[in-house]
Amino acid sequence: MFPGTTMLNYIFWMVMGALQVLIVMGLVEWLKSRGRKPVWWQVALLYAGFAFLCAVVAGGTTLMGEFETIAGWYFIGVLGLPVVICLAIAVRLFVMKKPTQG
Amino acid sequence: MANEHNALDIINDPKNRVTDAGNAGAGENGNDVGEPGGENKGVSRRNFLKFGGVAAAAATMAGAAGAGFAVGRSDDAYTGYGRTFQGGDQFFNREPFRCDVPVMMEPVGKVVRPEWTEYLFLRLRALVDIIKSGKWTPDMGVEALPGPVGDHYRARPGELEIMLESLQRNVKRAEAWKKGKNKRYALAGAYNMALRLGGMELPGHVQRIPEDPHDEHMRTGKPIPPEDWDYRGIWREKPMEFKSPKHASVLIKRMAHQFGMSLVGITKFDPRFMFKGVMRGMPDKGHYTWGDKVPEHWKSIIIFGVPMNWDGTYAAVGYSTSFDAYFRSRVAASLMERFIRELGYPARAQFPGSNYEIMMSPYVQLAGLGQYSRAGVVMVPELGANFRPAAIVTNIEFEYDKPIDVKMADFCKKCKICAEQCPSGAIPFDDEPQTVVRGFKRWKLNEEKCYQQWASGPTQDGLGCRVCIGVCPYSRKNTWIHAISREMEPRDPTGLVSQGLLAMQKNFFKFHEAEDYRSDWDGGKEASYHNPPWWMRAENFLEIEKDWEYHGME
Repeated sequence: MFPGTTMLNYIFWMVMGALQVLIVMGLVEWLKSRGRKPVWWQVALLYAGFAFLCAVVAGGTTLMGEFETIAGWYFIGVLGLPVVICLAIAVRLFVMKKPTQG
Repeated sequence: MANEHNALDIINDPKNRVTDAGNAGAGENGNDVGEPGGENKGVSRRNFLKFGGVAAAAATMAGAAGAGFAVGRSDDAYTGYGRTFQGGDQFFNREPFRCDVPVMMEPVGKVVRPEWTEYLFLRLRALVDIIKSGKWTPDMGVEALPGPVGDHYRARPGELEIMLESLQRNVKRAEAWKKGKNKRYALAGAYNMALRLGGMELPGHVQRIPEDPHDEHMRTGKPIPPEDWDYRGIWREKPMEFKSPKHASVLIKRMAHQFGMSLVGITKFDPRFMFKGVMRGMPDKGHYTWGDKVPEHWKSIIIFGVPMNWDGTYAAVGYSTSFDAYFRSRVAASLMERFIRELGYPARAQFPGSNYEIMMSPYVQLAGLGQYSRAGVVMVPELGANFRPAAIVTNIEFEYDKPIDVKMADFCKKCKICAEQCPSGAIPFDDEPQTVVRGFKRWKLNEEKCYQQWASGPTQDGLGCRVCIGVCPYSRKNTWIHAISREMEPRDPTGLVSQGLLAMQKNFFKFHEAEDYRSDWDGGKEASYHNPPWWMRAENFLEIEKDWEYHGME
């Protein structure tokens, strides 16, 4: 990925891995700030949705890198839209919905 | 008393007072220690995590996009030139997909060996020789065409006319090249000829590498039977014995990778797929004297190969060539031939363009490297249709590979992109294989029509079209998205993955009209599936005026 270097590739992926920790912790804090108790499977589902969206973007840009630009945009649009919709539904269910009085 | 007073001081000291932000659980994690009056300086831990998380998410998205693009554009995605001696490019695990009989190779009738005239290049050369000798002219008609070539065309009405037109198109192609195509395709032509005449052969079809028994026969005038040629140079009194057939297979495969090959498979030599009337080294290549003899020492066949250059193939017709892969396969064939003879065993190279006694496709399938396709070429999982093999025939006893079924033929039933894109209409559109060819039911390419496009394309030597290979969905580079597709598709029993991939292929990827690939003098636009790579664009490097448009996907 980084021509002419041997280390940058490893450093890139290490940083990407560290960022995921920050994302999950930020997600937990955001849920708390909304008055929600973070439930592990809800956090996992929201993160999985985000990761899948990143994978869709990466897949589309991979196609663009292969000189299939049109296919890349279609890939992101057609596969990314359902993911965004599912994420929006999940946020609405897990974050926006008022907790039931118990 | 003193201690209690000190403790109270500590408690009452405003500096030690903790502000309550009113958040649940805030007490557990603690909050900032602030000034009296509750003003916070700095960023709270909570805010750091929230906003930091958003920033991290944005950075991850950007990183994923950048990484994806870099991977797609990277030179490392160009699999198949043996970048690692361990065959690291051979990343597809075939073991779960082994079967006993390749798809479309279960006989449905009497299996008949092919005649030499069924090989287009041998037939073409013989036809040209007949015309040059004056024995026959086209206006005499197919009935008067002498010999086995005449028998071949009489059995296939209409095909001679297509071939004769191809010969005329070759003349037009050569004229167009001289008039101006040699400028636009200067670099593609030079690349092609570098490999052909700088690497593969000398002018006059004398082989540089490997040695060919036909050249030896032409040089000496003597017949060179396989019992002499295949054993030449062996100095050991008896061959070195392998510990087991498995040891032999493992060693030879490693040597194939060592010699630069990406893929290698070994199978038993099956004489059903050997041409009748072909033996290089014999007079007239054995066309009229060899008959259906099979050399006794032809027991095993080793198949190995590499892809053609990816970007050039995607820019077929004018910017593509088979010769980069042919040259590499030929080099490996020459090295492997010698390696095997150094161990005391006979070896005979079967190599491209037309130096064969065998049909390669059946052996590629029997060796478990790939499957037959709609377009008439064998596809392999790693490289799709972009695979150009050579082979060695020998008498070593190996542990043979079994064929595979990775459902490529099933995909071909629905896909048909190659048939839709073929500029000459040579590829059939039947959903299922319909034609029985020498006892096997398969899709049959109309090779006369296919060659007609070769003869008409904007290339220097009229040798190849390759549009079908470039547009095939399996002919994709080694990036993660294609690797996932390759691994998932044959493992899905429901067929949903296959349908999804086909839907994406048909709707996301844009293609030309088939006639757009033809030369401009032939009614086309000289389009290519992709535009040529930067290093093949003559206007980037040479002092020429760019008076053409590119019609490729970018």
